[in-house]
Amino acid sequence: MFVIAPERHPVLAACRLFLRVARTIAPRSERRTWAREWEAELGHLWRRGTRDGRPDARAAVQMIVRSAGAIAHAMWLRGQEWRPDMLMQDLRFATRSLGRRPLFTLVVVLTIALGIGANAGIFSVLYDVVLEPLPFEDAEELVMVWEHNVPRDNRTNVVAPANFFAWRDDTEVFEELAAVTWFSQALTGAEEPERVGAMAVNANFLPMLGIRPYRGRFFVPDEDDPASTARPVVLGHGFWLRRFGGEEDVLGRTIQLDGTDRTVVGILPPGFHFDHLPFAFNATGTQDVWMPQAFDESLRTWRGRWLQVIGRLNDGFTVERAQTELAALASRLEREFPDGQAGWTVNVVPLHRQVVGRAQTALVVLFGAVTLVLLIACANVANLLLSRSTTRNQEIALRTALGASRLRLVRQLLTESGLLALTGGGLGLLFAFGLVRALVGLGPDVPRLAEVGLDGTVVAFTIAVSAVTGLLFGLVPALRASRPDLVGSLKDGSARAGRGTGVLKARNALVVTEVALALLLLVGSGLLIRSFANLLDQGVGFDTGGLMTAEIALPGRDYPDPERRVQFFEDLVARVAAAPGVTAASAITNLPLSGSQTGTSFWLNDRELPAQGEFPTADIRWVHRDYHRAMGIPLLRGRTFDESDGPEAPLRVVINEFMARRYWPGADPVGRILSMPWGDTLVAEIIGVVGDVRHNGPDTEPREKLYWHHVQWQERSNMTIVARTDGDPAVHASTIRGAVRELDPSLALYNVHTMDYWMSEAMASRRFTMLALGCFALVALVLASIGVYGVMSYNVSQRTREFGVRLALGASKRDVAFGVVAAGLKLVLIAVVVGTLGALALSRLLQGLVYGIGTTDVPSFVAAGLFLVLVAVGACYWPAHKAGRVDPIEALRFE
Amino acid sequence: MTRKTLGITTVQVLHSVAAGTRYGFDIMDVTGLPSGTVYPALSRLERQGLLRAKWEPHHIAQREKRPPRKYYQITPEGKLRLLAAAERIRAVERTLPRDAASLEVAPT
Repeated sequence: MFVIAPERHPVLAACRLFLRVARTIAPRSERRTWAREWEAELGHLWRRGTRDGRPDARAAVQMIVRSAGAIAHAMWLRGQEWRPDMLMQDLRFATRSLGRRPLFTLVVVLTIALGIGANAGIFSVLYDVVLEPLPFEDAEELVMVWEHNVPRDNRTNVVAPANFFAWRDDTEVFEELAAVTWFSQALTGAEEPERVGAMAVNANFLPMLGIRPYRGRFFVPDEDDPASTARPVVLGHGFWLRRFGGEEDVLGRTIQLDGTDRTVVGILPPGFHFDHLPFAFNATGTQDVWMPQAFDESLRTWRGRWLQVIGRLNDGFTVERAQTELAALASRLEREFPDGQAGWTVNVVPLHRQVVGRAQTALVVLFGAVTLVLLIACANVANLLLSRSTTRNQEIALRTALGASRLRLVRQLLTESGLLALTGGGLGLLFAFGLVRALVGLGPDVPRLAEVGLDGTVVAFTIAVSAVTGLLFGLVPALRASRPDLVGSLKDGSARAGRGTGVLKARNALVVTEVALALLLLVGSGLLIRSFANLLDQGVGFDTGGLMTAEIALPGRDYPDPERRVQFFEDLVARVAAAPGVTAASAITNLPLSGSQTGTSFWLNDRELPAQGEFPTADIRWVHRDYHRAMGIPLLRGRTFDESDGPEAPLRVVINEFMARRYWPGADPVGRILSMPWGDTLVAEIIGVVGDVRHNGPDTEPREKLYWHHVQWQERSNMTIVARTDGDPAVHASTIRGAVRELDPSLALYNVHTMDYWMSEAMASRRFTMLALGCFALVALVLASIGVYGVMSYNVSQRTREFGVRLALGASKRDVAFGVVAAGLKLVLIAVVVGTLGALALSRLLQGLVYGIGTTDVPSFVAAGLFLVLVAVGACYWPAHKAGRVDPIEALRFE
Repeated sequence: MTRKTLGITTVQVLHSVAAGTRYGFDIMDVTGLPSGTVYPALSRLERQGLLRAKWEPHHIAQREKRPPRKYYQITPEGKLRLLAAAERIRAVERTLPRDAASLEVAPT
């Protein structure tokens, strides 16, 4: 519209924006010449101050500052001289006029603060977790590459080394490709032995992410060679501070990990930890020491898959193209090596999606919820301002009669609502700050949460939201208020005159919207609460209360002999079980809910041998013989392990109910034989069937499971001790610790937690979503009931005279009060119908979050509706009470 | 048209036009006043007949790829008012203190 210069530039856009605003103010008769002069002057300044289409900084600032003056000029032409001090005057006036109604001001400011605060808080989390790129160099080029097991439909299977080599060496897909293994090692030789989190990575891994050493260096390619005699180690920053007190001379020192001497060569930068890996083996949850993979050629095998592979795509490769190319390679390998590759293909996932994918649904739902809360807050404030504009009618009429122009009044009213919005926004920011800290403190299972904080983007976002909110709710009442029915308002001084019904309709519509939106949130949180309760009822298959657990690993150097390892765990369990307060004790390799996992493929000897790649799989757990009794997992058939299942006895397994039903429906699996391809084929007899355990939490399905007696397979060096206690299990951490110390004081315990802790960890993400949505629903409910209260009070004040007449004609107080409640109820019922329809349409979004119920679960809908109606009727109580107490004589004299 | 005395900033603007600065933005450069002050002053002076506005020839504007600029010239009446204002300001100026020392007048 304004031709300042033909170029496109943000500075020009800003100037045009100012001119556009000013143009609406400039008087029509002078508008054209006014605009031409400003265009020409700005155009001249632009020509003078630009080189190659770019203005220098001085010219850019001058253009923007000067074009703002166009507004002052336009106002002058309008006969409205504007000076900067007039803004102050407006502000002073607004402050005074708001100060005269402290309750109104407080309610409005708090309403906005709640809406904006919740919004900014959740936005911070969403922004940092979902929108912000990962903190790596060119992070969008990074992908994770998984093997995809087609028969089992497992799309994120860890990778066989042979495939890693094939992807890296036989294709052009990756600029860099690195494999990672996350495990744990024993740090010994120092004053106190400790279990530390260890990462084995290829030498190119850290440079690929764009990470630079804080001190020292990372690995050189030679060190990644198995032939290399160097044993370097890089320390995590936190571990370096904790264990070595941040001493720089740690570089070059030797530390002992799992009995191997390693030289410290570097330290990672603060805050760096690559906790974006879905699989950790025996992990302590930390990444304390980093070492090279040092792949051996003998690992060029498809037997055994354990790597997690991260790569940087080469130029010109999209994720899709990489996927196509690697899938082609996989099918070629499948033909060449059917032995290990049949049924396997690949799955390339952008690292960002891999990291945030599992939290995305929950966060999007929460962001939707928070937007609804903000909308409700806006509707509420508009409602309040609308009622205020009605009561201020007389004041405005007076000021108009005294010669205030419409522009002046609009400006004044906009200043007022802007002030409210900004105060609310400021307070909201404080609230958001608290909210973010609370969310982070709740520690839900949301990735990257440590990176979350209030930042400039969020502050800008909040200011933008407050400004838009201020304009949004300031505009309608301001325009209405500035066009008052002069004569009517001055004449009777009541707010009734003229447009009462119009305002009432608008306010009713706002309240219906608010209540309907609140219902959406109530239904949503109802669904989540029911799902949560379902999951708690569901349980994991054993009683999690009263159980203490602690993991222990035996270093291979001190316990090279398998019999000694087995004996150690036998002795330890015996000691713990004998301790006072402990009713049963046992041990298992992969504790339920801890996330650790081991599996095997197998076949059944009474069935036909399956084709290559189509072997069924099952989880394996090595357990101490008392495991099922100690955990309270019921024995359904046959027996569990006892002394007769010794190292020399034939291999025996106990299976779970899920496996029994799947392979021997209606028949007894006890006595059947199965085989496992472990180098030599292992043959085992099924001796019993026990109840199912949901290993990864109550919302996961049980899987086929094989329990082995740990004395029959002595390769394992780590187990988790479980102790069933008759009191508070937490106090028995020291029981287990004491028993370990008596056996071997050099050993360290880790993952020392009660079973309830593991359970609550498994439920953390759901609890977080449920609580957060519940809070929003509560805020929405409060806001909506303020809305209902406001509109009903207004309604009552409008109908004072009518009530007076009715009371004078003999209506009882109850009749009048019921009338008010009925009017309120009518609005709420409309809103409930609208809200229910909306909730039916939107609840599908919660698909991945509900458990054991449909997204149109009738009890949740009915409960939410009833609850809302009850609260709304409560909100009508005071207005109704007031209506009943109208004094007929007062009411009639009033007119 | 009321003959109100001209304010200092208005006199500054009027004087810079009289001295040959003809365009709004150039006046800002010379006087250092913001656009929100200069433009209302120009418009006021134009309405009072102390300044006359014209549009620069089209070909200059076309060469610079922008609309033609509006330029201001002082009218004969403008010159008279400027001189009168200058006289008044000088008279006021004589009564004003010259330095800090002259402010320390003995109490009467």
